[in-house]
Amino acid sequence: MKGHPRHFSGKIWSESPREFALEELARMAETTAEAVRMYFELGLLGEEGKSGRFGEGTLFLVRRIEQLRVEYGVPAKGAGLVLDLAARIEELEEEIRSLREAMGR
Amino acid sequence: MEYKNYYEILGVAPTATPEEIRRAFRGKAREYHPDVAKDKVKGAEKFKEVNEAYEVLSDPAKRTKYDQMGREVPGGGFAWQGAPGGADMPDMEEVHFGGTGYSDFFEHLFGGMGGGGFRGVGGRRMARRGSDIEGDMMVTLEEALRGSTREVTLQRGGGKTETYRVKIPAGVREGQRIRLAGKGESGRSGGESGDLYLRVRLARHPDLRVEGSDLFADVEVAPWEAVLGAKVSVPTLDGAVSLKVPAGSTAGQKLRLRGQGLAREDGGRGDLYAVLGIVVPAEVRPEEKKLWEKLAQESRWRPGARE
Repeated sequence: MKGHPRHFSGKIWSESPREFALEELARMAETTAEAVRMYFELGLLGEEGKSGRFGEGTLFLVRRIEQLRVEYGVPAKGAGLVLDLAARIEELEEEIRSLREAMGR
Repeated sequence: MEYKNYYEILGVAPTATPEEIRRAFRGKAREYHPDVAKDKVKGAEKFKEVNEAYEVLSDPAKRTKYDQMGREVPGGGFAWQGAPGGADMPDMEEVHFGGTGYSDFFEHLFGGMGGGGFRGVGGRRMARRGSDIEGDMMVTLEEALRGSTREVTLQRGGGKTETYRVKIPAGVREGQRIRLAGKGESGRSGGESGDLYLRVRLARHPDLRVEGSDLFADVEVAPWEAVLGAKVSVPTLDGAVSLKVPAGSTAGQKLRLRGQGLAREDGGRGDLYAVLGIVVPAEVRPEEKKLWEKLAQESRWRPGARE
């Protein structure tokens, strides 16, 4: 996959938003800092974390990559593709919904 | 899980056309809209039920799936025709939501259709953080604009029902996820609990449609009103407002009501556009017909090519 991943169309909102350092993020996602670094290098996590701090969105993504890897045996690159596709489907579903609504009037 | 008869909820026949379904939705949605219903709580519940029914029946893919999968059987319960979505996932913990605006029935049939069904999958023996749980949350445009607090219930693995107060922030968008820390699946062998994510789906409004942070409303005027100008009533999230349609307006023209849209990320508000439609009377009285005939003779204006 070239270019920036789409991730998921929505943002994460939390009443008590947290920020993590790399090791904390890895611990929360039950993986290693090494693995998270690799996901960044593969371009799976976008631009966040240049400052060394990571938000809810990155945790959300890392946990899903881990889940796809561990539970479904999908390699990291493939997990990025799956997440991109899932996000794209969500986007398209929303677009279809909105177009259908506009058309029906 | 209770079977939902979406056709009955909208009051249409199972053979209803998309147009009939749309009309039925708009009628029911107006009737139960939280702003107009006499009993606000009941109204809000009915409004969400009607929205859910419309979401399924207005989407050909969902409607087909619904028609094929469930069929009501006499004497309670219903017969599944085939496995519900995601049933083949390993060690899936049964999760039942309440208060999200979507029924359990809807979640089982359509939950995670696009998102990829990441909810509650586990099954390893070492210490592990619990899986995250995802669900949909129906949010009305009024709630998206002003924010609100909702009570969501969660019942997992047949255990007791837990109730959470979920804050819906003002300015929330379609597809945005609201995170409830530590409310996902419990961890195994001392692992932490996962998180609960509620994905926001905006409820459809009977009179307004959404595009980003802008809203669109259709307003209809008579041909002479379009030519001479008129005052019309436009629905907004703060109630109807009066809008001046300038003389010489054309169908499809958009009139902007600044700052009457949804909340924007920068703290401002989007705009509301009244989209002008020109409608002609279905029947005209003889006197009116004479006037039109006179106009047809007098007017030199001929739009479009003629033979």
